[in-house]
Amino acid sequence: MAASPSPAADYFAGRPAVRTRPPPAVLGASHRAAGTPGSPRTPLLGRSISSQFGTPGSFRAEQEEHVIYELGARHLSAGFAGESRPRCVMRFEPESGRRVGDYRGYEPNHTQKRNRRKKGDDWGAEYELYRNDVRALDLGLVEDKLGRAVRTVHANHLQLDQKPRKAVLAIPSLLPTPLLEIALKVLFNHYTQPPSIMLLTAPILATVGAGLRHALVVDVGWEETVVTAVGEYKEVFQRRSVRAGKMLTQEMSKALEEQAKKDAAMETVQVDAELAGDVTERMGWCRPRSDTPKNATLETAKRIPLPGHPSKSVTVPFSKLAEPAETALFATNATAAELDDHDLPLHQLAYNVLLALPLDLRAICISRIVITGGVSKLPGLKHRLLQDIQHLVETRRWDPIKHYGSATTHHQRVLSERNANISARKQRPPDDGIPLSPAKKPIQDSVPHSERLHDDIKDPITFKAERHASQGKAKDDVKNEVRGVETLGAWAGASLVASVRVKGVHEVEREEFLKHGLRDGDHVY
Amino acid sequence: MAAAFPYTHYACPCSDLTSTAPSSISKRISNNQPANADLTDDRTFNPHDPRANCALYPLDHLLFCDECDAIRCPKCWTEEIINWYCPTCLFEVPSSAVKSDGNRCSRNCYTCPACTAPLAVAAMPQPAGDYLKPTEPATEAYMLQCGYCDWSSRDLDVLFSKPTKITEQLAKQRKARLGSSGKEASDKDAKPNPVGHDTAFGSLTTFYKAQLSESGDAQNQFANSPYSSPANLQRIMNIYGGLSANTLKKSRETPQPMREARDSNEGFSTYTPDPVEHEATVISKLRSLSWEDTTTTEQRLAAPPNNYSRFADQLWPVATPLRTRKGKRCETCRHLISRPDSKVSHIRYKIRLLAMNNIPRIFMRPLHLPNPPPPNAAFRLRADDAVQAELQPNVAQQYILTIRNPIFETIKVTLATPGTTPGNVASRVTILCPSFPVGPAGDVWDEALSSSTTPASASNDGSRKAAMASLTGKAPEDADRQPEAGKVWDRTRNSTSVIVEIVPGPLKAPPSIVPKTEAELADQALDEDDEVLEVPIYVRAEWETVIDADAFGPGAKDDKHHGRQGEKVTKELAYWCVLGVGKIAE
Repeated sequence: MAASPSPAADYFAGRPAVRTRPPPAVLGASHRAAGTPGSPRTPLLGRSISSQFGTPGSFRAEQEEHVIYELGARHLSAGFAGESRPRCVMRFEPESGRRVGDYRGYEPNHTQKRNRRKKGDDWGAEYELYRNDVRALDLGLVEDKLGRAVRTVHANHLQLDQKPRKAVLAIPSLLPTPLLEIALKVLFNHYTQPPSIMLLTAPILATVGAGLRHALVVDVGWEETVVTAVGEYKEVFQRRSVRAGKMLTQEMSKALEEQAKKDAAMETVQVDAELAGDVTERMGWCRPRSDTPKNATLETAKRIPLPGHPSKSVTVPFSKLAEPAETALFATNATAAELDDHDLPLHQLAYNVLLALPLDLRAICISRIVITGGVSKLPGLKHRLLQDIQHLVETRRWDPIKHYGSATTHHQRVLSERNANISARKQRPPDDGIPLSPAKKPIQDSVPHSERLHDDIKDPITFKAERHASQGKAKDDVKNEVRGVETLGAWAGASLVASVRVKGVHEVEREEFLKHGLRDGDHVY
Repeated sequence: MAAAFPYTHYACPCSDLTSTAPSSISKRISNNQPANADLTDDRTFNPHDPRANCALYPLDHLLFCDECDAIRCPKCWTEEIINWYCPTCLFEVPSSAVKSDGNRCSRNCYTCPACTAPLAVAAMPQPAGDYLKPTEPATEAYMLQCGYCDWSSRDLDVLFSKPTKITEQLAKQRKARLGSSGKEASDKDAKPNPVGHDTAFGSLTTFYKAQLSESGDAQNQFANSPYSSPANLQRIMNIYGGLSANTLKKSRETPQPMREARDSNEGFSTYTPDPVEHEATVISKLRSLSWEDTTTTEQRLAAPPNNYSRFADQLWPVATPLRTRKGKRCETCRHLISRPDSKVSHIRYKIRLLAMNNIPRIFMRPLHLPNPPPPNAAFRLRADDAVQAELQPNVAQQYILTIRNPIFETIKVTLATPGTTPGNVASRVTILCPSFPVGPAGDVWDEALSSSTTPASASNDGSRKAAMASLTGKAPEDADRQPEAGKVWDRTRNSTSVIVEIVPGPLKAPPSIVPKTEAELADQALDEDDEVLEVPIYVRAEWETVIDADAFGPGAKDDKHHGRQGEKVTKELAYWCVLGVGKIAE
């Protein structure tokens, strides 16, 4: 192309070729010079006929890959969209917070030295990145730790080239805004420079990972258990309890220490958060609701070695290892009066959330209970939780009042009357024989409020769903029975979402974030 | 600290711990400093702060950008990968194959899932009888065997028919195992559903894709057309073609919402409150096995296939993760500061701007060495060998602080340190001579060969003598010298030493008459490294340099920034560093 101007100018020799040869200094700029009026030519490339219909190549470039991060209180997992598992799961540990070149963690008798007990609130603080109470949190330290973790993940596991890739960040819902800001800051400032980050919350992703639209997501995490009702991929209702992994490991530590004290030969053994967490993950289990003591004959004792004391170990009966889950998660040893709103046992919490839901959604959600989170891997936990929920539902029905006290008889009478009413109404033949679709039925003002059909929900999605239902497509949906649904977890859910290229509602652009930060919080929530 | 005393760690100025303007969100809250301390410039660097761990580096981990004249640490350089290779077989992996192989070696490199030692391919030992009467050509079988622990792939019942292409064979066996026998899969994932994690993920992906294309917009109707650009084709069709039957149908009815997955073919699996066999199996297995038969966290997190393995007999061999060779650029000016040779077998660097060659280096040793001097910690072989003596609290110690200048200009160094070290243990630190020049570095033989060229900072003591001293490594021996305030202790060609006086503080506060409350006692409890005496020192170096016209190339004539050719400019460099002195005795 660069050589073409001069022969072309010669070819159209209608006018004298004044500049047959461009001066050497302009040679490099012959592209620009080609458009001068002195040399009319046909463009050589067919592509430039019309910019509207050209450039097929740009469409293939859309197959961009996303990097997916999942941030938890104790871990960061990262990987690529379309893969079923994260490439790596980084846990935050005291050893990962050491100085560069400090190899103390590798010394054989190191754990023994570090055996300083942190009491109370500080339990496991070295093993977590953040806690939800940010008032006492050193945010700069969180940023440093997270930045280091992200660098390690990229250097050791992702090993990406320079191409900018969009990122997806899965976060627990209601992650404090300062923490979210830190996470975004770290990811945007990392040298891979993602152009935008899509934010997704864990309950929604767990729902996606289960293949559902509605679900009751029980996320048994580290600091809190979060029960979220999800309807049409939206978080509808949420309640929290502190009965989660942290309390579980604390109970496990107590149980082990108690056991060690019984083996009188030993001096006091301190079980730190690391060992307790390890025992919970490896040996902890959860017994079914009606565990008959016939298993006592099968009782075996487990020898658990203590790190730092190579020859020492604690011998624990296997049944004892199920106790912490009982006390920490299901509060079997506490009476109802002892429980406060923030530490409800899991089944009670799930029941309360279900009770607060509208009737239709409750019916759908109860047969779509999704249990996820780190502690949900405890063998037996899922079934135990379902059994307890079922038990609660069977004993209490959907009545928000637990005890009527002296009014019990009155209440029962009211109930029986109502039952009679309902059955009487059911026996009444329908007025109009033609079953109209609820969506098409006009809203009559004369109909009493309680009998109107969906005059409050004019959501197009609901209309569609109802039409769907009227066409009989969704007739096999299970409702009204307690049923659990397996989920692949939040990370895999995010991977699914990103791989089918769903556009996120909350997407943070890099330029905008670096310029303005999170715009007083309402940008995201 | 794990490093042997005395050590020096350098803080990169990029951290907001060391810069003067802390960003708003990382304002210290838990710190017990008064709130206005943040506002003033004279915040001192606290080496006992947990954040300091992320800001301090040994000198050999730092690089230097000579465009910006600044120290660069992993936080403020960007990395670009030059090549990927397997550390075991040193085979370079092309960048296109890296991701699909999971950033792991796809050849025969595997590490033991139990102990991370490399695995070797070994032939299965034949029964003894076969050696004596070889009836038929025995079917060869191979396995992966760990040379360190006694793990082998026989534990998994995985055997190979040939000693090559282990990865393919392994993948085939895993696929068969996950696919065919549901029970294995459920054990594998420790989940009560018979569908494995990966299978479920695959079917869910196809389900969602199908649903999206069904319910989704009519845009992609021409996706299968031979034309490369469906959007363009659609545009043409909209203009000229009218609507096809398919489009008409789709446009008439609004798209249906996506439905939920229904059966296991769509990746959907449920469970009921009734006790199930899988769960009971896991628990009874857990009951029968011992602690050692369950997997540790490290084993589980070592590779994605092992993430859900609960028992040691489910651990799958781990393919060796790839390593990379990375070039490093300064984050602000994009200038290359380190670039290794691209060949895997070469360990040479093409570009490497080490901080060691560019910033003044500081080290410290006691003025009066104990007799006999303690051996270097690097030569300590046994645990009961003599360890370094601990510092006695409240006893003044004198140390020689040496600044060595690696650059070819004379630098003016100013040292600053807080009078008492920050942290829970307050030790008093005094630098007797905080401001002094340090001579330029040069070829060691320069001075020895020509005595006429004296360094610019020629001091009173003969430079030849100093050069000799620096060559032989012996300090001028006058034992009765006393350290004096304001005087430099010792000076060689490119290093200057001054005296620092340190009074280690007591670890415990003196017992008081008033009984202390619980909270006060808790406050006094020492953290892990509080007994380590670390002195933060702020080093500021200033020097004049002549603008070298060649350094910027003929095109760069930006007078504003670089000054005219041959003109002298003043440069300065300032950073915090931390000297680890020793442990304070109880």
